[in-house]
Amino acid sequence: MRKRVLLAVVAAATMGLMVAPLTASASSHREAPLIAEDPLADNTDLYAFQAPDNPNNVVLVANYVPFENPAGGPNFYRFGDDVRYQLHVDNVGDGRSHVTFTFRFRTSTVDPTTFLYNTPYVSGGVLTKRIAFDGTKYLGWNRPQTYSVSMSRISDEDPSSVVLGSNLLTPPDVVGTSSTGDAAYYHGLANAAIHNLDGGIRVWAGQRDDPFYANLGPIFDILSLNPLSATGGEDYLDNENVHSIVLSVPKSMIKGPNDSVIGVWASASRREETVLSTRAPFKASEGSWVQVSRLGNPLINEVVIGLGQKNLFNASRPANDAQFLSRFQNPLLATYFNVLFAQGVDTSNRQDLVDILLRGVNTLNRPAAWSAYADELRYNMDVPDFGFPNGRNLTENVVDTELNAVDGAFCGFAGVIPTCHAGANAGQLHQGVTQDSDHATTQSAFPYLNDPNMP
Amino acid sequence: MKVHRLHSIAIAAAAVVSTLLAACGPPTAETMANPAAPHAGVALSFQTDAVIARAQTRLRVKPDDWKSVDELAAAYLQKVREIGDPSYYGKAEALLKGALAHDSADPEATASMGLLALARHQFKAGLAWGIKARALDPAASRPLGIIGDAQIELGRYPDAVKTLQQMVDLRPDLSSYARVSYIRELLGDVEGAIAAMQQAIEAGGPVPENSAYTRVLLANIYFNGGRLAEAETQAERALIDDPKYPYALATLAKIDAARGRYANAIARYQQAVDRYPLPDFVIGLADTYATSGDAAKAQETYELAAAEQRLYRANGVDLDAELALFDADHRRDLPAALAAARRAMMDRPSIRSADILAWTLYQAGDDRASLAASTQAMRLGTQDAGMFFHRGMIEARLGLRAAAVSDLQQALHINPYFSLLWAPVAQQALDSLV
Repeated sequence: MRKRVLLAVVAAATMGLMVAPLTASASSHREAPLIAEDPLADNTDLYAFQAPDNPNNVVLVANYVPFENPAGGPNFYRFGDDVRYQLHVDNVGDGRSHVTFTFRFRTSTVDPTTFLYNTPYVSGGVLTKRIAFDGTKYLGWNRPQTYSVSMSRISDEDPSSVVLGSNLLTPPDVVGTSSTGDAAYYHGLANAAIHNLDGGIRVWAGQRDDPFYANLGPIFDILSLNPLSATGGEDYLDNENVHSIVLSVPKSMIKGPNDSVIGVWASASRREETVLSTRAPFKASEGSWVQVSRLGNPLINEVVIGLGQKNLFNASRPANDAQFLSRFQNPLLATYFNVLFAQGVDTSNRQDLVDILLRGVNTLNRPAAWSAYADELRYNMDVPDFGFPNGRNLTENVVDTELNAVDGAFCGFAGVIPTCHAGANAGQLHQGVTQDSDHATTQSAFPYLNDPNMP
Repeated sequence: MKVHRLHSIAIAAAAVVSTLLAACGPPTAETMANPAAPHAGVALSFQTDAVIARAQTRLRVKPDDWKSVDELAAAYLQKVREIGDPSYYGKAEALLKGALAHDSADPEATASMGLLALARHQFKAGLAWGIKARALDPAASRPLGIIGDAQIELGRYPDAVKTLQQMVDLRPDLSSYARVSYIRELLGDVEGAIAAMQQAIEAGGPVPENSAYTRVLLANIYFNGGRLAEAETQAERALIDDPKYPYALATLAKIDAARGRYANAIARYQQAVDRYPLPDFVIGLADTYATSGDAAKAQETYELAAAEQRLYRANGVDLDAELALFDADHRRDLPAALAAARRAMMDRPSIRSADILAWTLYQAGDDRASLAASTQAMRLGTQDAGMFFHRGMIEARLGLRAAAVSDLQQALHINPYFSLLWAPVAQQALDSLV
């Protein structure tokens, strides 16, 4: 999950702070890094919505690698080859994954004698630098990354999961006009990496404009937020890119036995390692997977869980989220609202937030056989266009929704959400930005998210 | 050209000394508002400066913003790493003490105190802070890194293996993989160390310093195995991440020197020192001058290294082991060196301290005691050419001819370039024995 708190405060210096202070040393003892951030495995946002061009499909989007600066060289950005990316669907309500999509990536080097991201190639007798797609592969891209997708109906760790596709191409990052062309040309390169798989599944993975927008600094330094002004804030993600996994899947394929409600979360895992096991030839694939980040509803780690438990939250499973129940019932942010903005909203026993964020809203998206408190992005596929907290679409102002939810805006809503005492300005709070500052809309065609911002 | 180089060393040293002077006494509002000017061309430092400026701005408005206090302290620690000015240690310490006075259970400040203690080579204190930080946030992996680092430096290797296993089980990432690599290297498992460091590099992702730093660590593992070409490839790759990365430049300089390309080595060491006058780099430069036959330049540069070490000491860094090795290598003030080596064995009884004690005892003429210390140093089976060389020399003087031949051969087998000063001595000693 994105450590927005840390990153927000130091937004201008994200790269510098990715490395927490290493043990600075006069000499001698080996300094090993203590990284605060692990961007390749950092889950930033999750979306679930009906495919705008196909009402039979649901689109799940999981974003990773936050704060990609378009001028990203020399390493550029990619998915981690040693990270297991998963999208989980709980279609029962027990907090467990009943349909798991697993993505594994592999980077190869075409010309190992150079570290360059792209290398000139001969086309029609002419030496060309601009990367091109020849129908099966990208010419001139020296570090192509491909991936496999598999699906399991058994568990996250199912070794017999069905491979839906392998050696699927990702597109190159947007590098610059001489290497990846202008916007129209890059659009063609990116769309060449759309893959139609069996059973009506479409998949795409690569660099996108980050559709999330947030006035991050003031939100997390709540003192400087003016929540009663709809404008005047700053989109701290302006012109930033992200790496997206976009999966369009037929509703029928992920629908559960009882109803059309799904609960979705995304995760990233890395392999553990046995410190002393390598006297024998080393095998990189030995260790079992350890979950290092997960994400269901937006901003849960920041708004609800808070410092001290975020590591535990990231390592734990939705089925065990009852351990965090009191943080949802008694949100610290509500206390801040009362102290700072004289809201007078209830600060304890907030069953409204528990329903919205942990178990689904009655009659809207609570599973018929509800049994587990679980931070899942709930989505009743029969009510496709509601938006968060029923699924989440790419352009909505989810920060405003959550600020107002904490202020009690949904208390007693339509008789289906438990009552509570709402804050004085519930429903009128604003983060100060109303749309993604670099793109007001998204594309109507798969993969829906916009092409990345150009350097 | 030479004049220019010397001049820039002097400037670098002067900058360090002046910030030291500025930092004597507790940080004032003025010193906090005006950190040392950014070192020219230091991109990473520029970003850290932005973090520092931001945190300072926030603290001027709201002095009790403890999160910003924690961040500023962390940025100060990072700053030492980037420009080699240890006066930031005192500033960081003052901030962290303030944060802990406000909330003694602040997990960030507690962990940062652990990092600070490690940076100052106060490993027992580092261990205590790490244990405290772990209790405050049992799901975090950072305290385990602090505990593991301290255990390694305190010579508690079985404990360190357990700690690092916990760390990598809890969170497999760059930080834990890099530590797994190091303990494997200490335990003599060089291939396992390389494999784990490659995982660390992969896990570093697109962050340039992560990538550059882990690649230099890998380059040095290769260098320590005498594999110059592979070391060079990794260090060159790190320079793509950051063209002036001082650690990479120093490693490339070391490789140049090993190949006898002293002019190149001197130029690269000079670049590294200009950016970050780390005593290790300065000593490498001085050794290269000495080997290339420029005794006067070598002497000046050694003096600079000695001055810098005094500077680190003045900022609370325990350098007993480093000073003992430096003095023993260069046969300066051996009684003081021996006293420092013995203190190091008390305070941080690692295999490295044992090796330094062995070598200092040898240089001071106490061969029996030096053999015992060497045995302790080599108890893990570490494939360290320097340790084998030290032992071979000790054995030779004790008349243990077969053992001496074997260990000197092993030293040169592991890494024929292990030391500019001592590799030729190892060969001569071997020639005289066989």
